[in-house]
Amino acid sequence: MKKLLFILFAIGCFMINSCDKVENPFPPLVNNDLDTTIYNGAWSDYVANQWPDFSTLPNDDPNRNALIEDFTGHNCSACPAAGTVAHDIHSADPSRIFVASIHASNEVPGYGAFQAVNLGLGYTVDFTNPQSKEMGTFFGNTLINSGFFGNPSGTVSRTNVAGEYFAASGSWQTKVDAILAAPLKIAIKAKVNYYETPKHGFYLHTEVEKLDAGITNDLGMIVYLIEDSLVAPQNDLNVLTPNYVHRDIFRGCIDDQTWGRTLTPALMTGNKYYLNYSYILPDQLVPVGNTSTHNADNMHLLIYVYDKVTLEIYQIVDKKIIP
Amino acid sequence: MKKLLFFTLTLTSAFSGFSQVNTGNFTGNIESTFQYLNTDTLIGATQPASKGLLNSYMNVFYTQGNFKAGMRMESYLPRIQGYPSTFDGTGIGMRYIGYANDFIDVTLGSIYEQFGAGLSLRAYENMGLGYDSQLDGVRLIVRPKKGLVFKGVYGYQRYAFLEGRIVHSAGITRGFDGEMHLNEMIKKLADKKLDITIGGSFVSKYQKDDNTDLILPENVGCYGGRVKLRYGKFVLDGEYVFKGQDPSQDNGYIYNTGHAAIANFGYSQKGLGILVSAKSADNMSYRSDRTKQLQNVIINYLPSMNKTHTYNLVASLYPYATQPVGETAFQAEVLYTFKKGSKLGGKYGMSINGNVSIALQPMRHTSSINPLDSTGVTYTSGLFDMSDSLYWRDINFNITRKFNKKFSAIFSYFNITLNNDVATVTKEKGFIKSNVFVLEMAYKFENKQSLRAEFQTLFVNRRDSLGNEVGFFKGGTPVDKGDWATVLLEYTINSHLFVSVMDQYNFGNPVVDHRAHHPYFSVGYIREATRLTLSYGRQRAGLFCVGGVCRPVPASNGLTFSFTHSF
Amino acid sequence: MKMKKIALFVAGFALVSNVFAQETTESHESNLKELPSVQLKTMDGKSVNTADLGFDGPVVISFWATWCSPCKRELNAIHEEYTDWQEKTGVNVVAVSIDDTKTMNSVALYVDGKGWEYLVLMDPNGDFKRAMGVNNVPHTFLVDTDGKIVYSHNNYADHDEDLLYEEIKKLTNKAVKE
Repeated sequence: MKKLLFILFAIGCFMINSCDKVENPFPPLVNNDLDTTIYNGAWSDYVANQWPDFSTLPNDDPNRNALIEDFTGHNCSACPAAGTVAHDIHSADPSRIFVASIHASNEVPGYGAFQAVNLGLGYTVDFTNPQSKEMGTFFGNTLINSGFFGNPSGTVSRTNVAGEYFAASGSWQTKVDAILAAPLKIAIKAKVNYYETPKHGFYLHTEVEKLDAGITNDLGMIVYLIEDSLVAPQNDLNVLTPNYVHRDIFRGCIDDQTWGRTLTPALMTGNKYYLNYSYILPDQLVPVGNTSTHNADNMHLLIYVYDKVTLEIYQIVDKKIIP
Repeated sequence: MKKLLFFTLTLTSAFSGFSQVNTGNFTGNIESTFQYLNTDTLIGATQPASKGLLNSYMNVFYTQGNFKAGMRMESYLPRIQGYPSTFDGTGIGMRYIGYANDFIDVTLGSIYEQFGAGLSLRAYENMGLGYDSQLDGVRLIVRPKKGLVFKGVYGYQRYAFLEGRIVHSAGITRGFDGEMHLNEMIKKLADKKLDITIGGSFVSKYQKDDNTDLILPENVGCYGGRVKLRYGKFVLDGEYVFKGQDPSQDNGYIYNTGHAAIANFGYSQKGLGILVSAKSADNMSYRSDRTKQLQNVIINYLPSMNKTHTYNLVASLYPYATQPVGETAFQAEVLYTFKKGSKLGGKYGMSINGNVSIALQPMRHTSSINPLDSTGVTYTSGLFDMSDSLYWRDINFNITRKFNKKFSAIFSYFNITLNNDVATVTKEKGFIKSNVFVLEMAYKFENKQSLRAEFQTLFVNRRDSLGNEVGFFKGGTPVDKGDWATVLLEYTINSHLFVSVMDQYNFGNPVVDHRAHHPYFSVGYIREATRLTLSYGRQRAGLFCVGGVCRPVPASNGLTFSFTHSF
Repeated sequence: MKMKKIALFVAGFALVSNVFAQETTESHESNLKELPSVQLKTMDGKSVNTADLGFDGPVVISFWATWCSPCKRELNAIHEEYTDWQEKTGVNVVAVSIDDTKTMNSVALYVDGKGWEYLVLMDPNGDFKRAMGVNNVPHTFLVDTDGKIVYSHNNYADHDEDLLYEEIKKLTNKAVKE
């Protein structure tokens, strides 16, 4: 009798939880076709003359590079200190250590008080985007014990150390040193062709080669658009600093996919993968309500290949929009 | 679903099993909390992807003669709102076996222990707060004589509970403590009026240095001593701990030493109690893993020096959390009871309680420091060396009076100043000051039913458009969310059943659209040692604090069902 | 649909509470637990073993804290009747304070300020609270002269002290009969 009552109780709890109604079972298709109108001429001309031949291009990055993803917020008092740590580490070896400042918090929906636009208090710029919110929600709420407890916090090449991906700024130098010393397992070559007219857009061509046959998990490629710098308000130890230099601001993934594109056999030619993107540059960040312009000189790309199971970033390269 | 079913079935069989065992002694308790939450855009409450959240745990302790054992089974499917993300899965979260007699007490497994006031070591748990800093290792307690105790602990601290398993902190913690109560130990002093207790402790942690930037000390020690004197109605006690170089994420990897000291002076006789306390702490964040933050793997316990308030508006809106990196604090309290039959006391007596607490920033002297030298020491700070910078001030009093057999009331007033730049509680600059008035009344009806009512109002300070203070009640714009009022009615139907209704109304919010009501209904059923409560309503985001350890609890709107039983 | 779920839920809740009511009355007679042995200190600093309190008659053990209003109400209510209770039944009340270092110093202030005459024990790290299986305070136990726990009650509502007194009288009546 008692067991039956417990079962009834459990069923009651269960019934309350189980009723999501899905309208359309199939997730929307992603279109990876290139936008041929970005080129200021005939597309056939582009394919014949502008499309890079990677066999002739040297490998700019023969060593493994590291990425520091600094999860921050403009109304987060302790974040400038962590931003300085990330920038100092990058400045020590700028061709091998890259930074992406991701403005996201660890609460659902990845957007919290530290990122909120608050015109009354003076925080006027919206540094968030759909991918940053999705990353914040995933690492802060979905992934168990990611180590993302609040801002500032960061990953280094999304490596998992002692069960956690995130660590406080004091641990980043050690993690970066470990990455730089590790052997290269994935080689990436990339070329950007930017055309100011007619659409201020670019084509990105990449070649990926697996150097270590021991990698068996699926690989994915993600491309970050990074805005080099912006002068805007920042909370620095609870003092509103109106002219703070925000650096390496993550603007989003250029294919709008937070988890990138999977490297499938269909993308292979020979023993290498070839992924191509086209993208129109967005305007730079300005205070909410103001108009803005695009500026290709103030943007660059971070292109990386990661393990879809362990999340570890095997190699990352950076490319300026205008070389 | 399957897990929940399995869990509840295990519970049932466990129950029937226990009532038949007659060798040894089983005790324990169970607690389970279930939440079903909705989205509420007005207060910023989000619905979790799984819609329902469930926290459960069950402690079982077994003793037979000198042998003891215990365990705790925990389950987070997933954890409820406000619980840290280091809790996940179902499994054994605490377990120990041990042997104890009058001379020795040895325990292997999960250990909870406190040395003195806990300034150097306190391994404790508070499941309501989601805090468990148990040491997983071994503890030996030796009592060679009455009044003389020696303790030794050695273990890894619990950091997280993931996939049903305890995850340990990176560093090993060990400690030794000795305490002598001279009047019990030495026969000649047994009848002396002066009562003396002396104690000392040494705690140390070891964590490997894997930092490529700096050379970090791998063993960090904390030495301490304490004295407690009692003379008739007077009490005077003090404790001091000194911590060696402990560069960590908390203090920015500086090589300063740290200290903490607490002193208390009290006088109490029948009808009157007086207490004066002082605390000085600097650089006392002591963790078994130097890279961790927030409430994770803290070895010691630094309580905040202020009164624990329980009224809703006072306790959860602008509470003060201990600043581990440093603070100097003072507190004074008086409780006086007017005797029954006296003029002010009335037929049943009246009590007045007054309390003041204040916390200041410690003074950091940098004049003798050369920041470019290679010592890594960034300032010097002495014992009770304080600056003028205010962190916290709380002046409050309450009057309790019983008017007749049916009716009694408590009136309280609180004047609280919080430096939000330091002890950040909300997105506001500078100081948040509040005046809170509370009237609590209780009335007993003829048929053994009773009603308890609380009326609370909180007024915050106001600023004009230039940011200057313009006082309270009118003019300018109120800071943060403005003024609040709470009404709570609790009706006891019989000794088993109660219902309560609460509404928090943000009537003074500077943004008119945000002046929300937060209604909350509860029904509770208590039978002996079992308690079931069902609550439904809207709760604003707030802080849940126990002893100065605070956790932010996000806003929620929905149903909460909780069940506790002890056996 | 939502209403049906809530109705089913509430029904389950009511049924479950019934189950527990039956559980506790069964275990009353068949298996009485002994007081666990934990070393605590009194408010004056003397060591006490909880399994060896040294009282002759029945003992009420009440867990409380200076920050727990219902606990203080319960102990203040008993305080008003305490002299009477002691005369008639020889009961002793042990008030175990679970105040930790933050509020521990206010215990003597409150106890003496209110004039309580109980034996007050200090349990700052919750050792005795854990050993007795206490979830939250107030929680009151009644222990008979053999050291066995015969009554356990969580929460405090007005007049609960009268129910406690009934249980104490049952014990002393049993003792008289034997």
